[in-house]
Amino acid sequence: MSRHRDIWAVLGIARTSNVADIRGAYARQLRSFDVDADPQRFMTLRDARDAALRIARQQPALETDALSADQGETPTEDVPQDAEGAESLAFAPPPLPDAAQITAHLGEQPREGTVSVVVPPPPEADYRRDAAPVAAPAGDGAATLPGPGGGAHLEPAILDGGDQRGTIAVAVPDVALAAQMDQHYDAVRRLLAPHYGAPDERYLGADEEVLLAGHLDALLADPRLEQIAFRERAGAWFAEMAANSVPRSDSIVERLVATFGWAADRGRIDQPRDVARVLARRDSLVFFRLVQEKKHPLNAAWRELVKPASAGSRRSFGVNRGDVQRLLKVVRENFPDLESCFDWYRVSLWETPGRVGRGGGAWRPAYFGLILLLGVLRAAFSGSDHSPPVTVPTPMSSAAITAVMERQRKVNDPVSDIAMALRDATGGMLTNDDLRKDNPKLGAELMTAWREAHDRGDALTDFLARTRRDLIRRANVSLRHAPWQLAAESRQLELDQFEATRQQSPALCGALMDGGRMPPIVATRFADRENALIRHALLESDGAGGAAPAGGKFNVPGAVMKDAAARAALSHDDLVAALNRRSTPARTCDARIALLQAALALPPKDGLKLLREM
Amino acid sequence: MIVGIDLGTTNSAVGIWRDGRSELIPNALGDLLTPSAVGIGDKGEVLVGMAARDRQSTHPQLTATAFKRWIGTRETVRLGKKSFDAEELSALVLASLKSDAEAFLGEPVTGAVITVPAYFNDRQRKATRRAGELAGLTVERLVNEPTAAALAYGLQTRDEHEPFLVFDLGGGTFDVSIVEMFDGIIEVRASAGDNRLGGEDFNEAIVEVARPRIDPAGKLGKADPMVLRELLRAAAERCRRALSEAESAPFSITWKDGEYATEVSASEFEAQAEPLLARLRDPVLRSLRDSDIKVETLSEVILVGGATRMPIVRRTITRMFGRFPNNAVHPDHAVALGAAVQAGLKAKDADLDEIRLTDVCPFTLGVDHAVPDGRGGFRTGLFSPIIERNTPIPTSRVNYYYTLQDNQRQVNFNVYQGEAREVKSNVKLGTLNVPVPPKPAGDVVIECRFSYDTSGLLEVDVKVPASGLERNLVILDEEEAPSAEEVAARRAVLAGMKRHPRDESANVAVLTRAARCYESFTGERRDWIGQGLAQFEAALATQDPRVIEPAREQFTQFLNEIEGERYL
Repeated sequence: MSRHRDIWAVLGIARTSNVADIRGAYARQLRSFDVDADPQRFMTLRDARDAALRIARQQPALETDALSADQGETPTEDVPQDAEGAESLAFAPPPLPDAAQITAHLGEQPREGTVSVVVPPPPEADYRRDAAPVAAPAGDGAATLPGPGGGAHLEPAILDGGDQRGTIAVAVPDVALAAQMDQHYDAVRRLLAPHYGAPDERYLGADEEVLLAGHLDALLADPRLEQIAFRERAGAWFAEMAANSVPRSDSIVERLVATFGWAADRGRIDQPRDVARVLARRDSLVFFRLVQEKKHPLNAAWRELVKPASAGSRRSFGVNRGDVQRLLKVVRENFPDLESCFDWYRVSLWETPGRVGRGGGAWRPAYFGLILLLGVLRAAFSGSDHSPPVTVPTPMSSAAITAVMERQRKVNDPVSDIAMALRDATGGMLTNDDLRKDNPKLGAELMTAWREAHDRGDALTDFLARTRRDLIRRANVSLRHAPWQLAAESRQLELDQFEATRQQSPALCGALMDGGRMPPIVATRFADRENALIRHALLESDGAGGAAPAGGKFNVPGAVMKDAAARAALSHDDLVAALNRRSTPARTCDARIALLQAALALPPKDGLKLLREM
Repeated sequence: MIVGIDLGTTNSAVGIWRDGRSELIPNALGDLLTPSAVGIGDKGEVLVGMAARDRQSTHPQLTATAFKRWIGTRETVRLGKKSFDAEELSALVLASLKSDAEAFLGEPVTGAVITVPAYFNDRQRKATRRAGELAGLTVERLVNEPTAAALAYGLQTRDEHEPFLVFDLGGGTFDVSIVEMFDGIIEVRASAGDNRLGGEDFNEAIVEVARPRIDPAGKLGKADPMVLRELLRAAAERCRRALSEAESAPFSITWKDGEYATEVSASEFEAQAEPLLARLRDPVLRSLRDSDIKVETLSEVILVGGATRMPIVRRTITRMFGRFPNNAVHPDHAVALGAAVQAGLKAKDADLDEIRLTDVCPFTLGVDHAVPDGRGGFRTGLFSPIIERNTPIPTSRVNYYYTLQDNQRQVNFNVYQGEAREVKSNVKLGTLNVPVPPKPAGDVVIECRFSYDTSGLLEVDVKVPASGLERNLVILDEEEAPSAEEVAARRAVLAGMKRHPRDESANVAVLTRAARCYESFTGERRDWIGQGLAQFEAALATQDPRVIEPAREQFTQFLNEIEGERYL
């Protein structure tokens, strides 16, 4: 993309990763014209600066051309833009930076005269779905107390921050308090999601509910909640916990919504998914409670619709049809959880059938007559009407049930089946049309696979699972042969995911390399990017085979090893050991991150091979 | 000459940039702050400022305050024989500030930079602009209040500043902005706020604590509700200010020679104000999230607005951020000083050569669209953002839309501003209809581009590539904007209203204050006030300034002793 070249032209400086220089150039440019008279120029300038800062953050401590000239290395010419456009990033040759510079840049040096506020976050939601429980990582022992600085001891005196600029009052991180709270967090997690991963659909027992309430009391009395950063993290933790453990979290949902004020954000476009889920669940519970009271206007309609099919096959008398329609509308739009309370047969009795474009009109009256006859017969012999107790069921909405039932059928329609498979693999980012336009060969191959499945009479679920595996494999193969841009993007995503996981817990990050899964908080954050990447890879894929390199081994040029060792602040041997997983998880993690960074810092020609094979 | 004006909910101020610094201009009474209050006097003359404010408890039907809360709406209030809307009332305040500035500077003032809360929507901003025009000022620019405070702070020392947070809790609105300063460039990263949270709400909290206690016998039920509300509010204001310094403060009102009083403790106030304090968190969180800055990297928390003097607010802020906030700027003056800086920038003053300011758009702008609902139908009335909030302005963004039905003839673009997912909860700014060629559903692509400039003007450009059609809409006003003649006519009406000559305003202010004190005290003190009042009126009758001025001084001193320092 030619935009990258223009960034530096617009800013008027040579390529650099020095933040102060970039800002200075921006300031100079901004002063040279009137923003109101020329808004377009401002937009270009601002975009250029933001892009430059982003690039700078990814490539720390790159020297400028001048310095590299001093070191006697020939600076690479600006690579001319070729047809692909990928090589238009003008890289200055990265001379190996000074180790001290690296640590100075990467390390968090507090500014003079300040004391940083250290707030350990609650333990991340450690459960993983669809995976066997991962053995607790040995060595660090930091599984329950992660966080920056891990509760460093500070003088328990509040500095007078009043007039002196730069001094900040210290929120004393009480290590004992943090440890105690972490135990409560752990207990809550164990109660709500006792089995790693597998969503538990049993309800909490009465005594468990009491325990849960007690732990929640303790957690919400935590004084750290007054700090806004901690509160945000705690809120996110609770939201994720509660959203993913419905219905076990039903008893605490109301309290969480009240404490964190999630109801105020109702209907906003930036409401996080988990919060929306918890809020929706709470609304459903409230409505469920209200609608069962006799005086609720829709009470009669409710009782009618939850009557099981076995208790009578006709519409009950005295129930207003308008009420039923309204109840259905309200529940479908606002409380989808509750839709599965309804008996589907009852609903079908009351619901107006939609226009179906198929034939068979002649059969309908006969069918109806048959049902009527059976109904009459049944009514004549039916026993007493009894309604079993209704509990709010598990959160399978009718859409989910339909989806499950749908998948149990056999493959029968190539277009929709393939579309479903694509949706599964890429989170909805790839459609049949995309394939048709950009990669018809892949589309044809999927079609062939479908035909084979159809001839065999496969169930849809099997087809979907197999296709998904196949697509992921193709995407990986494609990435292994990808051009630099795509390979770099994929590694960049991997780097970001690793770094985010490391932020949650270094131990987890190390486990990631062994095939563990990312914590859900991280996974959701990068889900879109990951799906976009898979989509991109699939569109580029030419279906070529190509085995994975044997044993997952790859060669790393010596210079890169040196660079990575410096970035990770490890010796060469330690780095090798870490990369070969013969070290603590935290170190393994750091090593991988360092290697990724080093690989990404290489110019396209040199880095391509390594990026592909890593 | 361009001045900078802070048009606040409770108080307003005007400032000027000269000699390399900004300074506030005193009004006729010598105060730097002028209360945002308008009243009608006994003879039908217009009173603005302190004089009007003092009359509020004695003549509540003839006085209006806190009208900033309904600017941008069409609400009106009846004062005496005439109805005013919020624009006209603001215009009267602005005109009074204009004449103060002209008197101080000795030259005519034609242009002004006026501040608005960062969270003011489009309608409120246009209404503020109209108020300026009604006052006879050319509104050079509208500036966001926290941005203005950041300007004032940044110019105190022209250093580099890591991102800092401006916490502006005024009389009626709450704004948060995160601002960065480097190389003379002041850059706003994100803004958020609450238009319905301010000092006035804390007053109401005190009233809720005290009201049940002062009148166990229920005698106040016979009072005129408007009068009673004013009395309670004024007493609450005093009590709240006193609580800033003491652990408990008296709350008392006087009505029909009876005194109704109680003590309110700081802890009761804190408990009652708890939900208000909780509301302070949300805008802070949102602005941090939008600017992607962590709390730990903030360098300062700057307090702006009189309400930040309350200890409960300070405590909440300290706990929120884990550090003490910064008192570097004067909370009441910072916004006006910043507005003056912006006025200097507009006038291209040489001292401000290297300073540049970039702001952001605080609201999301978009159109409504429909989304398939999974049952074969469409869910309409959903918001599709085109310019996300906190995008640096000026900005221009584009989005693409498709037709919903086969052979659709026309596409409606309704322009909305807000954050809700359903457009019915957002503010509608305008409509644009575009004819499209008949084609199957989804085959026609329409390109919709929004351009938003620094003065808050939104332009919508719609293009249909299939037919080559282009349409353009500039969002001026949802209703028709008043024509130039209408504006001139309204301005003439306002200008024609009777007022006291400028040099008399000090006397008028003292008289109204004395009248208010007379009503609020009983017994002995009331007699004294009556006597002092009679003496002062005698001095006024002589019409001799040499007699009047010392008499006024003395009387003012006397009133200060009786009721404590007059607060602003």
